[in-house]
Amino acid sequence: MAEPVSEFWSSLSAFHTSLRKSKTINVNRQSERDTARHIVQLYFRETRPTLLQLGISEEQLNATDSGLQKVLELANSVSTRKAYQRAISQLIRARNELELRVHVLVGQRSTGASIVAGGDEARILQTLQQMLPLSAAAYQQALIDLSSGPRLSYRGIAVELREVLREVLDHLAPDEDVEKSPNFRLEHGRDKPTMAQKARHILHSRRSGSNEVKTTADAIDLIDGMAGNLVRTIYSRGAAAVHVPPAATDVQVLRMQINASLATLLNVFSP
Amino acid sequence: MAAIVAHYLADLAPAGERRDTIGTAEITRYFGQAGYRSQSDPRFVLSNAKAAGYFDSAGRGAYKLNPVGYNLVTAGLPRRGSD
Repeated sequence: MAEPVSEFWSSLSAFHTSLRKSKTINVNRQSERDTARHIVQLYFRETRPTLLQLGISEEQLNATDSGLQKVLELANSVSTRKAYQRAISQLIRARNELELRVHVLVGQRSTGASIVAGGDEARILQTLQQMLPLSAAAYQQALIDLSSGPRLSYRGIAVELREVLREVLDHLAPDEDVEKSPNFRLEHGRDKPTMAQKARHILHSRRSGSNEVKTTADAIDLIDGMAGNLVRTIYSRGAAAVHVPPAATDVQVLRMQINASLATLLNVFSP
Repeated sequence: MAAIVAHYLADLAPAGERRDTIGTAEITRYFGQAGYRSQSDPRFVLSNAKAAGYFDSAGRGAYKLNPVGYNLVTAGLPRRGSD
């Protein structure tokens, strides 16, 4: 659920950074204008509906809506870099208010979570609510879905859980920080650090023991593969209803693996 | 203006007149009714609006207002009673 929202804010923030790097007065490059258009489309087609689903009202989205309409207007003609920067700065200010509202909404719903989340899961949820409210909502939704009896498909839950882990890793270890770390090398065929590399970076910077680093990084590699296989397997099965029991068991195993990794990354352990 | 026509035809027009997609015929007809003179040839109004990000293509010569265009109209126009 949270993915379109975090993807939107990271795209907007990356675009803001790239605008600041260039020295030209006007934004002339087609690629830059296309990026601006893409961000606007992403917001109105995916992010906005997700925010409404989370309980944000149309009125609360007014500032973001009009800011993005402004960005599109700028992208549709030759506009100054300053005009883009002004529009995006307003959007970033609106973001803080929106995230606060999401945080409050997620907090209000946490009564439901306490029914399904206990022990480490409740502590993980509590930490996520403070750190990444949208990921907390996604994690909470996955737990509620898993506790609500048999389902025809577990694919959505598997994807949701993996995305929560990915968002935590992205938050604690942004690509640029990991890439700057000593001895870092992109893995073959990748254009950015893997989830396991991010986990290693986080734990190394906390000076964790080598066993803990290796165990967590290996587990995250396994989760990435498991979640991917699970999604593909369920997808290829077609008549998913016939195969519900194995899929449910697989997702429960994935849940335990992800909980263990999140507990390590977030430093959340049973007292 | 094209977005307003599309929104009117999708959500506000009398039942028999309603449609989800529009083409050059609707642009010519409703721009004429509103006494609005477009700066571009009516044949290019919708393709330009699509290139600007407000419409999606919906088959040969037909266009559908997308969420960006819908927001432009609904958030940009004054509400009834307060205008």
